[in-house]
Amino acid sequence: MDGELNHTSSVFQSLKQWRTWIALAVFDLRAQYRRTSLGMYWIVVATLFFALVVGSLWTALFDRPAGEVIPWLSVGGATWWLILGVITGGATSLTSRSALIKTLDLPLPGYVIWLLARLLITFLIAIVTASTISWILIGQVPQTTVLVVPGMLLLSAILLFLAMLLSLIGARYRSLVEVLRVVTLPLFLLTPVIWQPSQLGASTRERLVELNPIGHWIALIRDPILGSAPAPETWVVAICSIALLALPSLAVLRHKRSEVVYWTM
Amino acid sequence: MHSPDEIAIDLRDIWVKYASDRKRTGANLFGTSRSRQHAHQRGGPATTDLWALQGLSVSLRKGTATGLIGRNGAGKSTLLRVIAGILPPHRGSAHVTGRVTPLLALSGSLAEPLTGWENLRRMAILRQVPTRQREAVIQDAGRFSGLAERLEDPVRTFSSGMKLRLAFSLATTSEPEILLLDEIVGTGDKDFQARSSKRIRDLVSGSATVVVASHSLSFIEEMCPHVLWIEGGIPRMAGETPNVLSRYRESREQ
Repeated sequence: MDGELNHTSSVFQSLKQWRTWIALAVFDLRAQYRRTSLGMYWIVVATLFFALVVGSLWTALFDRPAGEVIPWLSVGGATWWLILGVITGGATSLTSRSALIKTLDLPLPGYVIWLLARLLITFLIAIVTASTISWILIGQVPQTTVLVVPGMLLLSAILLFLAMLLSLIGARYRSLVEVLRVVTLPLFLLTPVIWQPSQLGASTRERLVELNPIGHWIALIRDPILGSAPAPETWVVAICSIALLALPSLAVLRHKRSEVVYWTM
Repeated sequence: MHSPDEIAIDLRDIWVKYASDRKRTGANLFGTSRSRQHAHQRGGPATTDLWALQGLSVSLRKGTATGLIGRNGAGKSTLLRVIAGILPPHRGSAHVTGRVTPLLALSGSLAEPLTGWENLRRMAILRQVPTRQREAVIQDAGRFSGLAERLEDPVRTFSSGMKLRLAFSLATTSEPEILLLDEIVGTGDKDFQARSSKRIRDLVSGSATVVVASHSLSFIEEMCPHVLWIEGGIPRMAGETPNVLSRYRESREQ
């Protein structure tokens, strides 16, 4: 790493060292999949399994065409697992590395970026797999696919500050992990991943879909891959989400910087 | 008095506290810990927190090796973490001049499923070894570790002594200006002990500042001309090694 960082380096100083966090994330993935029969191809298998098995079941249960259900499930599912990984992993991203934090002077935001890098590499493999299945079933690569690029940039920024905020709260209040364990399943069911908004009545749809920011975060990726541009309100929700998550996390890091390291112990 | 140029580590009135679990859980609301009483008597804040360092001041010159001794819980590791910049003190000032390389614990710094070479690469990144020097440092560390034939194997198959060799080799190959060693030196087989002692001496003669916390008094005696003895987060005695160690041994026999 060129240009030394320490515990108190800011989020933006840490982000400049992105190569470092990606290299550490690759080591994590190598360690995770070492001695498994398929290595990182397990990510492809998991994505295919979810898309084809759950997709076939949903096609039969709701009497909908496979070409509509499977792409929706596979792309939405891959994006949901990324968000879930950030929610659950973010809350423990500092406390789970406390042994390292106590022995090395690495920037604390770096541990969060390290986690995000690992989740994004996994997501990249999953989303390429899910998109390929979807495009085969749709019979084309939609022109809107190019909008995944700004969508991905916005989603990455949202997830960075979400993980940062959860890591700080999770280090200070250890009950957060248990709270998240309770709320993630209802959150999954309330988010349009395994169901489509068109299956709901208009008033319910308005409440569940339009007021649920996670639904909009998923739409940033799913809509362009499946052939439609994300709705204007989706872009607005994404930008507001970044601001609402960044402000408290940057404020805590700025004002409680010297205390955060003690919270992790 | 040392001239300011010679001082590598200058700590003034350092106070460090850890939040007590009793405070966090709300249990033992009326209890008063010994640390709390002690801190209060010394004019420090009275809380239910555990004060690991209580107004500690120390100056260490460049190019010296200092031993840090004291019973378990004396505050040795906390002091090393303050010098390393890992723990910001709650009160007092810490001025450290030079690039610090801490080798404080093995847990967390090694990834067990990865090979020795992969771990050296990972540690070089974690230790912020500059990209231009990284490959040379990794190769040197691999050679110094004396584990050449085992570096292709996963670290989970290594003994604790071999893991220490790996971590020590990388930490000391990256030309530290200030090297902090906590407990984990002075262990391992005789051959590596001798080589690690020689490397520390070479670093000190090359003007590196070394601080070693250890319960191995023979290692301290061999490596360090000066010793700082701390108890309860307060310096008990500092000076030339034979004098301090003799008083320390007496106190342990009582």
